[in-house]
Amino acid sequence: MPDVVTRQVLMIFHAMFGVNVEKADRLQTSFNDDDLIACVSLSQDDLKILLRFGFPRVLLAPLLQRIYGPVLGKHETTFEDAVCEIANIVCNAVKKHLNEHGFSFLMNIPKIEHDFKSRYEKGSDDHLELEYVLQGERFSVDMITFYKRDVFANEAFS
Amino acid sequence: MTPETLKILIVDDHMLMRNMVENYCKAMGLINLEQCSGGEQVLKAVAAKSFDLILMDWGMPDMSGLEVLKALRANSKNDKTAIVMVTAESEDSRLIEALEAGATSYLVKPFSQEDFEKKIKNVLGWLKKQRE
Repeated sequence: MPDVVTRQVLMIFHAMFGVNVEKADRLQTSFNDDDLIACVSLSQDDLKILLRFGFPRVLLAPLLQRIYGPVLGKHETTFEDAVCEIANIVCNAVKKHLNEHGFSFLMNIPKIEHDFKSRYEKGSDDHLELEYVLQGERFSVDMITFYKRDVFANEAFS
Repeated sequence: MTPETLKILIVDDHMLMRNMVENYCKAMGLINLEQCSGGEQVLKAVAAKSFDLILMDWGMPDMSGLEVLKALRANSKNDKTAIVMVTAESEDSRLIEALEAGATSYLVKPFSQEDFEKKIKNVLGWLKKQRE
């Protein structure tokens, strides 16, 4: 699964923005104040997977200014829109991979979350943390799995 | 039918993708462009004027691209409009569903300008044959 996420992340940045992202080894435990966080959940009867994408605005600004120009490329709406679209593309690839292996996940539309500070998620059974580097700035993708007993108790899915 | 006169509608709820596709179209000399951010808006736009090519996102909050595609194909007025699903949905069953519902072709996100141009050139060939 980490390979599917990483392959998609690298492909998105290369194809859409013409830049090369590298996978990072050292992990940060918290989101930074500058991070924008988009969440997507994949769900089927017995389990849910929450994917969280944390991007610093300082990383997004130069990429988006190439597409929108200097003014609109720094606007908060364009940041949020871009993070959600990146999350959408990666999560669709994850869904495809899982469903080709016997699952039947449905995916919701990505949304921006403002309340997460820690990358640790209480009550999760499995937490995969991935981190990437682009031009010295880091961004992260966390994949958190909840099995049936946790699904309805966890506010992240309410 | 010249690139300058082709009427193209770009549909995506994400501004990023609408602007990227618009930039890619302009790089191909396709300049007669309009944008919509949702399904209801598409149906109104197509009722008001005809388009040669619609580049349609799949996952949108108000109506899915597939629902919009089916609604458009239900009207014979749109028979000669090329509709390309531009989508992150890459499961084979979903893509087949779109083709069976009348999509002319599909383009899976993420894609580069080169991927886009290759696909659109094929679709323009289809459009040309339809109008001969």
